[in-house]
Amino acid sequence: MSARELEVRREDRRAVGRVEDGVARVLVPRPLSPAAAPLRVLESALVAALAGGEPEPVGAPQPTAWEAEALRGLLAAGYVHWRVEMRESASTDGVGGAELEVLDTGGGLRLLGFHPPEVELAPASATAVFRRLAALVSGPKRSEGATG
Amino acid sequence: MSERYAHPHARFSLSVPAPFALLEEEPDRAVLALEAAGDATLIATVEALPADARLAELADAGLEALARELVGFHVLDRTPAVLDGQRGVRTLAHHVAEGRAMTLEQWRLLADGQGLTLSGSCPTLDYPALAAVFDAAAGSFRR
Repeated sequence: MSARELEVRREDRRAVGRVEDGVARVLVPRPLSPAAAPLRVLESALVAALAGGEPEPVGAPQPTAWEAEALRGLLAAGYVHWRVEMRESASTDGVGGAELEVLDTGGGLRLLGFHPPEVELAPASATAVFRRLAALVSGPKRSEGATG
Repeated sequence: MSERYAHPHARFSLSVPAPFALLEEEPDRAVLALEAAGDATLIATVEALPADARLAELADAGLEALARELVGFHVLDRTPAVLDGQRGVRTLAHHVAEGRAMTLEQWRLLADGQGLTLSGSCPTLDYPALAAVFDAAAGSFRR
């Protein structure tokens, strides 16, 4: 019995289960635009864009007009924001939690990579995202040789 | 290290990745299995098709058959791919077998009235380590 448990958050829905329970169903075939390029913005700009452009709290880094416009363009055709968190019980090897966060946009999938105070939104194929998801589930030992 | 495998009747060959070995050989297919555990396999299959068969139809029919046979079958990705220098299609899918999450990656090619399918299958927990092995096997596939 696996000690690994996944928590999936998709929009306002949340589910907990094993990979056997269908976590992979968050993914469907999505086109990968050859023209898509990584986008790196302030985390606060992404938070504001996902919140519908609400102003950031006083003192938080303020997104530039360019960042706001780039995110508006990316999200204009609609999007689904999901996040998978792997939790491991303390009785196993103590790897702890790990997570994968994705924006499924009209222009394809974007893997979110956090580099505080910035976040990179990297274009990714569904295969690349699934490989990351499988690596998250299998853990570092079984993921040796993993490719993305 | 890998060895070259050539089917004695069907016209195809591919490099057998080091941990895999020939398990079964039939007139229209070869099954290569991971030696340590038989639950990771590479299967190459050849089927005769009508002259007007189309690649998309070959892929559709294959995926529909799998959806009928496998529990929780779900297609994750479907993309153009090059196999043996020709235009093919690659699919990635997920299903459950005996309570275990399984991943199935397939490459399909249509050539000279034949449909060629290379299928890499393994427990999802092993897929991160085997994805590159499956990629390499597909890259080595020749007719």
